[in-house]
Order: sequence, then C-alpha cells, then structure tokens
Amino acid sequence: MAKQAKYDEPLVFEIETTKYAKYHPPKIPAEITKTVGKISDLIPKEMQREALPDLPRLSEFQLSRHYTHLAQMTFSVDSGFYPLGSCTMKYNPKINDVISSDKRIADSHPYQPDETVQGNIRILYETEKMLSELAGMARTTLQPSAGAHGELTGILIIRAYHKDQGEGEQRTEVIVPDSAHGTNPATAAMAGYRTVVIQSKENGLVDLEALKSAVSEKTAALMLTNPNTLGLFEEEILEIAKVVHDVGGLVYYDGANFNAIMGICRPGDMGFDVIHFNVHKTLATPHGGGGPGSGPVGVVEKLVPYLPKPLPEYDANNNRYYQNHNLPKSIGKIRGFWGNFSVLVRAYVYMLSLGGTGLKIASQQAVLNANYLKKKILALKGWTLPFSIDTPRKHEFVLSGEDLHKETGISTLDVAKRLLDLGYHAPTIYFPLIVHEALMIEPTETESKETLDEFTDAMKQILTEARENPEIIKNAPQLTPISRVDEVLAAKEPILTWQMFREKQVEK
Amino acid sequence: MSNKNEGSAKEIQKQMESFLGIKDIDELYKDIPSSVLLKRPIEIAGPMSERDLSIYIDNVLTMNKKVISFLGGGAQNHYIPALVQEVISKPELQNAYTPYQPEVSQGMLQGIFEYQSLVSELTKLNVTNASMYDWATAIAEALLMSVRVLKKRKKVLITASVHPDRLSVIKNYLDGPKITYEFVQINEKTGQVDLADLKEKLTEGVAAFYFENPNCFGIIESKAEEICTMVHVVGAKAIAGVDPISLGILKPPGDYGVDIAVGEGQGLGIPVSFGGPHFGFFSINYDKKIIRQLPGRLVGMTKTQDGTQRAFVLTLSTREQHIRREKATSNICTNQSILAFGAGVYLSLLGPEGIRCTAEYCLTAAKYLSSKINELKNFESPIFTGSHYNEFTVRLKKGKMAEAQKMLVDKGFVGGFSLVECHPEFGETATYCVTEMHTMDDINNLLTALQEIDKKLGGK
Amino acid sequence: MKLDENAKYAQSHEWIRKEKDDVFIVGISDFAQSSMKDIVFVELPSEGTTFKKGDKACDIESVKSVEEIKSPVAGEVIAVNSNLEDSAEPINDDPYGEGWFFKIKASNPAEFDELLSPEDYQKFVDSLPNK
Repeated sequence: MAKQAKYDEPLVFEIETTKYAKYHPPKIPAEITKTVGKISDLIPKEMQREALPDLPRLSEFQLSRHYTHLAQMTFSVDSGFYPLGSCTMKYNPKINDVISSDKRIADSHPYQPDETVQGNIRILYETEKMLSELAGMARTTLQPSAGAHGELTGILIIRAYHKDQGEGEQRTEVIVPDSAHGTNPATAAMAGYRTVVIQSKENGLVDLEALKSAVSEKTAALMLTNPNTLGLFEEEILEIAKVVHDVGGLVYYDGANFNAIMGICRPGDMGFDVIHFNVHKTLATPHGGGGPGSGPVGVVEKLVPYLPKPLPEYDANNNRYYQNHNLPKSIGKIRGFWGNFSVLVRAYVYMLSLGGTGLKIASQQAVLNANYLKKKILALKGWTLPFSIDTPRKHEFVLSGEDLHKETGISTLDVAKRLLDLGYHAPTIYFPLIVHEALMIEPTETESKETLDEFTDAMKQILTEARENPEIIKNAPQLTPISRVDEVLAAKEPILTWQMFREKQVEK
Repeated sequence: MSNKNEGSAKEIQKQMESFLGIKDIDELYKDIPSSVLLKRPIEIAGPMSERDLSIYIDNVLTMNKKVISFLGGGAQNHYIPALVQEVISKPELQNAYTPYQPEVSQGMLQGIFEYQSLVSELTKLNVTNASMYDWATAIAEALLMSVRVLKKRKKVLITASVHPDRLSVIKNYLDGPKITYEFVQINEKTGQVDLADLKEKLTEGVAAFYFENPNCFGIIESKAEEICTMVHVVGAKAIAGVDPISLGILKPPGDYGVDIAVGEGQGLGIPVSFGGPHFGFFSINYDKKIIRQLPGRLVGMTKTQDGTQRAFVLTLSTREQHIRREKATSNICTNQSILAFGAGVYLSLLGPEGIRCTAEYCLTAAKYLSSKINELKNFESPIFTGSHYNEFTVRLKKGKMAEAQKMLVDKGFVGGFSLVECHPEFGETATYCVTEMHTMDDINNLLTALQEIDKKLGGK
Repeated sequence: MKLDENAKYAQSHEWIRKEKDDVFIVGISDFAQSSMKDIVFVELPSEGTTFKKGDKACDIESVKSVEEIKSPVAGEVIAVNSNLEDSAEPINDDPYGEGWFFKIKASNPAEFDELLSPEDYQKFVDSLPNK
C-alpha cells in the first residue's frame, strides 16, 4: 500500500532567494562581443524587453528539494496499484528510459540528412514493421503524438480516401457507439463530420440492427474500440464491419483497449481499415502525468497512399534507410517532424524485450488478472456487473455502484476517494456513460495476485464501512497530502497562474 | 511468516485459473469468433535480455554519424541542465497518469501550475494552458479558437514566411471546419510582414492573423505592435509564434497586443530527440467568456472543501472532450505534461538573468557567425535587412546549396535548413541557427569548413 | 422539487412565464438546477437575437457538465439577466426569481399555451428514469 508525504510546499515564486551559487549559463566568448558590439544595437528599439521576466532566483539545491517534495506528493504506478480503467497503467521497464535517453538519440536533429541518422531511421522502420504486424495492417505512420491525435490522423486519412473516390462531399457522418471514448465524437467533429450515436444492445455490444439503420451513403466511418469500454469483445465484429463496408464506409479501431488482444487477434483480420495505438498504454511508455504519448496509425493497403509524410523506407540494394517524402496523395503533416521519437524508441525496446510470444503472454495475463479481480470483487456483494454477466471480460471490467448508492448513500466518487486513503489510485469513475455509478477497473498484467487480493480486501473494507461507518468514506481522503478539493471554487473563480493569484490578492 | 517466494509462478497461475473455473487462459477468449483468432505467433524478434538489447541498440545507433549541427527550424539544441533531466526522470512524475485524482497528484498539479505561471511571465499573457503537442499544432488550435470566438468569421491570414511543415499541419486542421486561409506576403527587402499587403487582406471576414516573431528566417518583427493594432481594427485576433528563450531579451507578446501567443517549448530543457517529443505552449489573457474556447488542459489553484488548505486541480474541464464530446474545443487529451513540467524546472533554475544571458549568447553568436560568413566571397548573409535573432539566412551566390551542405556533412557539420524548395524566390538560401551550445571552436571550425567550400567555388 | 405555479415548462426543463402581452421571461426549473448541482457559468444570448422554438439559447456549465438551454417559444431576446455573468449562483438559489435568464418578445404567443402546466411537468419529471 502506497503512502504519500504531506508538505505545505510553497510555489517556486514563494521561496526566498538565496545567497548561494545559482545556475550559470555559458559566457559569451570575448571575441564575439568584440565583433558584434552592443546588444541593444542588435535589436530594434521597439522590440527590446524592458523589464526582466519575473522568474525565481533560486539555487539548484533549493529547487531539487522542492521537486523532490512534489514528486513525493504524486501517485504513480511505481508507488502503488493504479487500476485506472482504459488507461493501461502497467509498469514501464527502466531499460526503455535508459536507452531512449542515449545522447545519440537525444542530440540528433530531425532535419539532419538521412545519411547522418541511419540508426534513427532504422529504428523508425523496424518499429513500424512491428506495429503493422501486431495490428495486421499494411503500413503504419509513427507520427501522431497521442491517441486522440492518432484518431484525427486516421479520420483525415479516411476523409482523403473518400475525397479521392469522389465521395468527399457525400460522406458527412461518423458513427460512434454510446459507450465510446469522448475523443471519438470530438475527433469526428474536428475533421468536419457529424457524429451519429448508436445505442448499445442489452448485452453491452453494438446493436447490429441499430447500426444497419444508421449507416447510409453518408457514412464515412464507424469508430469502434474492441474490446469495448465495458471490457467486452464485439463478437459480431465481422458482421459489423461488413455492414459499414457495404455502404462504402470504413471502420476505425480505437486502440485504447489493445492491451487485451496482442498476439491473439488483430484488428486487420477483424475488418478494421484504420487503427491507432496508444503506445503510452499498451507498449509500456511512461505517461508523464498527462503526456507525452504516441499514437501511431496503421492502415490497410488501399489507404497507404494517404498516410502523413514522410514514411521510413529501406533500400536493400544500397543497404540504406531513408525517409520517403515523395507521397503525392499524402494528407501531408499532422505535427512538426516525425513523431515522438524517444517515446517510440521505448516502445521498440519494449517489443523487442518481450518478443512476439511475450507480448501475447502480456495480454493473456492482463485478461486473467481482470477476470480474477472481477470475480473476487463481485463475491463481496455490493457491486453489480451490468451487461453480459457470464461473458468473460477482457483487460478491464466496469462495475456499477448503483445498488450500493441506494442502500448506503455512498457514491462511486466516495469509494474512489476512500481508496486513496487505503493506498490505491482510484479506478476510472463515471465512465462509460451507459453505466450508472460506474467503476472501471483495469489491473494490467504487471500486477501480482497478492496485489489483487489486497485490493479486494480494501474494497471489502469499504463495503463494511459503507454500512457501518459511512462518515469515514464521506470524509475521505484524510491520509493524503490534502483532503477533498473544492472544484466548484476552482471553476467559479479561476486562478490559473501565479499572476492571476496576485491580481486577485491586489483586488482584495 | 512463510516465505512467499515459495511456489512457482505456474502454481499461482493455476490458483487463479481454478478460482475462475477454467483450465486454460484461452477459455477467457471463448467469445472471440475463431475466424478472427490469429493462428500463428506474432512475428516480432525477441524476447531479448537487457544486455542483448543494449548491445543490439548500441549497434543500431552507431549507424548515426556524429555531427555539429547548425539546424533550427522549430527545434533547437540548447543546453539541458542536469537538474531538469533528473527531475523529469523521477519515477513518480514519469509514471503517473493525468492527475484525475487531485488528492494524490498535488505534486504534478503544482508543477504544471508553476509551468503555466512561468511561461505566462515570459509571454506577459496571464493564462497558459498545460501544453499542446508542439508548436505546429498549437498554431492550428489557436486559429481554430479564434474562429470559435468570432463565430461567423471563417477565414484566417497567415504570414507567408511560415515554415512549410507547420503550414501543412495548419491546413489539415483548418480543412475539417472549412476555414479558408490566405497568405500575407513578406517584404522582400526586410524579411518582415508586408504591412501594405496585410492591410489590404484584413477584412471584416477575417478571424485571425498568424505571424512569427522571430520568423522562419530569424527576422525580428519590428512593427509587431502596429501589426496587432491593424488586426484589432477589423476585430480579428492577433496570434504570434514566439521563441521562449528569446523573450529574455525581446518584448513579450502580451506587451505588444498579441491575443494568443504560441510557440515551441522544446528549447526550455527538452532534447531535440530527432523531432520529439517536444511541446507547444499556448498563452492568452484571461477573459471569462474567451477562456471557454481555450483548447487543452488547465490547472487551477483552489482550496480543499474544508477551506483549510491550498490545493491544485484540473479545472474548466467542460471545454474538453470527455465532457463536451463532439462540441469540445479540441479532441486533445494526452498532452506533453512531463515536458512542460521540465520547462518549469528549466525556467526556475535559469532565473531572469539566466534566460537573458542565454538569449544574448544565441543572438550575438548568430550575429557573429552571420557577419563572418558574409565576408566569404561566394556567400551572402543575411539576405534581409531586418534584424535577426539566433537564426539567419545564408545565400550562395554561386553553386548549389545542396552541394555545399553535402560538403559540410563530409567535414562533420550540418549547415542550415535549406529554403530552396519552399522559397525558391530567394535562390540558393538556407537558414542557420546558433545557440549557446555552439562554442567558439564550433563556430570557428564551421567557418574554416565554409572557407574551404568558398575556395572551391573560386573564393580566396 | 419546487414549481412556479404561474409558469409553463418545456420537457428540456426550461420554465417560461408571461410578463405582459407578448413578453415572456425564461429560466430553468428547480429540478434542472438541482440535478446540475453548482452552476459555475452561463453564456447568455445577446439582446436582439431571434430564436425559433427549441433553438439553443445558451449553455450553462457546472463543474463536470454542460447543458443547452433552449428557447421554449419563438421570438426576439429583449433583455438578459447580466447579473448571471458575474455570478451564476442565483440559478441555484432562486431559479424562478433572481435566476431568470432572458426575456423574449414572442412572435407566436400561442406557443406558450402548448407547453406543460406545472402539474404535467411534475408528472413528466416523476416519470424520468434515475431521477
């Protein structure tokens, strides 16, 4: 069980400056100063900064202590169990970080000639091959920066394809199930599409009949995650894909849940045309408290011409790797440069360290852990498992706390907060939207049975408390660095920077 | 207590399987139709031991050639202080998800709040979001935001000096919502925005004008204030792309009337890493209504519900995709948090004098190199009269830039970013970039190499 | 749930009350405000805007949700409660009084009569799942 330190840590602006040595940037060589003359003569008068920026003046030591305190007040998967559903918080092996910070990677500039970065392009080339193989796709662009960015890239590729088919104007709709991640409809809107939402069936899966009535010659794509956000595999996936393909639409795979099926089945074999990976979920790259991630997008053969520029290639005759910018039908660029390279290096190292067989075992263990924990928690009585109770879940499962809420007044939010006191990160709550009082748990393959058993004990303790001592839950958390946060105040009177804080103080 | 290491992993697996009443893990996949099951192993090499992996990748990376590069164009090699690297490698910060549970994420949230404040101090705009993917996507999002704020206006203006890769990104983002764009030409003599052309193109239908300061040729926009005033006259938004380190010596965009400042944050302590991950910053002035159109995450300062403690939390989330879905301001979700956090460390460590000295080094060293290159017979630098910051243009009066660049690589240097393809009107030109990473020796050695090339072209 | 006996209601939870002649005043019901919990922001329409019946008139935000307010009748906005722009609290505290949103000059006042009576709105709310 994880514990956090408590500090009343000041902001960097509030720490008193020190007489001790501060950071010294390199000195300008005398020869340069002598040649170029006064700096103020080099900048147009009207563009000179008058006052120095009001930044802190602190020593490295003061800052090191400050950030050590901040780190100690941040829960990570290295601190404790982090069963955040849909986020795949598995352990990220250290070798990934060590290799990705190699100077030969860190210092290489993206615009260097191919001849000087053969190693880098080879890594891109091989990473792409591995991802295409994992997903069953023809080619994969490594450029998107994150999952949602991958979605946008994928939908732009789909749009370029329809346009090329002369159906750009006609196809105006993207279909998403009601259980979809929020990014799906947001992405469709950004790409200029209208979102059509279809309701899930009673078993939590796509309703084929509803899909049939939703598709038309206007359909550009269906966006789907499989297994879906309930952790259920879409059994009728081939029929689903056929319905969309029959009207000329394409099928998009949201890779957020890919950790369930590596080496077991492939989106390309299920009829999907486009897939994005969440490298920072499935392939063990750190999420950094919100990023960076990486969201490579794989496509079937007919969509390859539309992939962003450039694509890494290998010229076997000359034993030379190169970036191919000559892609006349490409959608162009979706960000600067070639992708989040040092994130991709981590994924490359991870895939090689597990190998094809190891990746399959990782998925199997993730599914075993999820089903084990699901059964353990359900045995406690208090939580229900909506939709298809007898069907095995895949990498995650979604419980409903509706009964518990009615019986005790304890909401899923309260349970989440109490879990923090007991040393766990809370699961995802109130998602997917089709489950009331939802608690979405994804243990991942890297957690031991012992951890899952201990977590079950914590859930059991909370159920007992809910019935016997609900106040302790309603007032939770108390053992964390701070107690519950006033989010209403934060939204009503936003203080978004130190500058706004000081302006408010002056007003008062 | 018994030794918990007794008993094999296999036995534990068996216990779990028997608890589930299954004989084999495959039973958990029984709902997957057999026609989609993969009947062969995935073809990915490995598993490899850590030692073998290290040797393998070391071999791959020896294929990279060690060079001294004078490349910029949106990614610049700046010195990364040890503290920055150490802090962003801390396992607690690296391996946390987005801080959805503020009570156990105060450290990450406070660090991001500090980042937002520190960048706002550079830009002199009092709100900065928790980061965008990079500079290019930040520009695109700023243009989309302007259109949302001004509702009916569906056209934007963009400086013709914008880097071609950034333009390509912008086009992709504008295409979906059917926003059109037009270039504002640059003055061929000064390299700055052509004010007459801007004036002509600024109509009531324009939502925003995007320009860069310094621009893609390194030129400082001396009439930036005038530009913003002109843009405001038609009620449009002024968006500026700025270099954060340059703001140690250049006027902050908030002081010359910019509505949205964006830029590449990579220079603030993040390695170039062959193009990523970097991060984009995005600053505006607070306004109760306009903030609702801001893309990306925001950390706010508040209190605990009992009112006793200061607290930090993700706020104003109703703008975002997980709540507003298809009506969200952007689909951005995962951003570049830990890098923004690192930039906060960088700015806190360098302090006001450190940022100013670094900017001065970049400026003066660039000026020095440019003037020395200009002394060579067949080279001209810079080609514009406008003042430049740490990037500047170099033109070959004779011969091909591509060949000159190739000769430089053979001597262990990478010259500038060639403009021949995107701006053929300027002839055989490239943009060079100098930072505090370049020592006097690096600069002199490059000059020696350029002299040799100049000789081959018929110089002294 | 409190009701204003003098108002009529839409199924999207707006209330509308006749002020005089063809001028009506619009807000959201007590049920709506209590389901949303703390309302933190409202973006009001500008005066002079014209709506068809059911057009989106404004957005209201709580911490974790956004709802659209629709105009229950067609017409032109002739006044807005700009106090709400500084503080949205009256919507929670006094939904039928200080928490009003806007006044509308109806182009077809007969639309008012088609809306739900307080009793019918009460029945409608009672019939909602997961109330």
